[in-house]
Amino acid sequence: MEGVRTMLQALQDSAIATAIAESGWLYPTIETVHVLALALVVGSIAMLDLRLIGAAHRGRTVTRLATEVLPFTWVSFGIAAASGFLLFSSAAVRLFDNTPLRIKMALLVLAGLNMALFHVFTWRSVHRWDTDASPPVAAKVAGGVSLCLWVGVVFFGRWIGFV
Amino acid sequence: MLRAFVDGIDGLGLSQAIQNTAWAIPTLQAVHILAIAVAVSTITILNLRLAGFVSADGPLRAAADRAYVWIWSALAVLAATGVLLVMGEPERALLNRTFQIKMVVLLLAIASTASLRWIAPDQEAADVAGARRRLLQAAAALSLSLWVALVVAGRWIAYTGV
Repeated sequence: MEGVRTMLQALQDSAIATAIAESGWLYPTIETVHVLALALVVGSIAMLDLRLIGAAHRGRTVTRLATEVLPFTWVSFGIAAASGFLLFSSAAVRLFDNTPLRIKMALLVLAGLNMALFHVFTWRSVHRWDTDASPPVAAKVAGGVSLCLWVGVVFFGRWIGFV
Repeated sequence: MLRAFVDGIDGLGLSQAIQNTAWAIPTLQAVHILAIAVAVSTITILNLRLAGFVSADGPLRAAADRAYVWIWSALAVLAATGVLLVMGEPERALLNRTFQIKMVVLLLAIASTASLRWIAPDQEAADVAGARRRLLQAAAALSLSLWVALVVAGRWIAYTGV
């Protein structure tokens, strides 16, 4: 455990992390970028999830919607991850023990796992149910689980600052 | 006078309930953020459709109408959570210059978003003439910028004093 704390301290003591922690405007600015990026991640994933559940955008084919939406998701996620890391680095030692942050990270891993499983298994057959207003159960479950996990990510993300 | 209004809101039963429940404000903020996600994503994609970067699958006005269902619904949630958040921290909100600016930007954002429907022609993107298309792109970019400004102002409330 000591090795981890040493690394975290080193991260926190780095020039960038120190600059963020000591500046009056850098932290809020990075935070704002984080909020905008996560808005696009969650919003775009929600569009796809609602389609998979069969609750919205039923007129659009699933593959078409995915092609339009997923580039946003990936680019925004990259920005959210980068900004999130910068925010974390500014107070790395303290935040490592922050319970909501740990839960949020766990939920992100689960969300990624859910997406990977969906892609490897259920997506294989998408050409068969692409135009169905009501996709197969496996797709609905993937969409529903994804929505729940991402809502959780937002909730626990907000809690970080309140603990 | 604003001070009296703040004190008045502070005294309401619901305000007190929100203030005395530890999880109320973070939860309300999280719901507020989820609604922001819906609004900003929808407006971003609508912008791209109006500018012709993403297919609109038909007439542009229809694309705007479909987007509006989401945007106005999100706005309703934002308003509801917003009111409750103000009740939870009336002084922090109402007496804060950044919050006041945010409210002005909100009015502009609503007006700008609403105007898109009237500017969007009942044609497919490919059929829209050059000048009209540029107007459309400018109007769409303006509305997106105002929503981004809303998010910026919203986050900065916490960092600016009363």
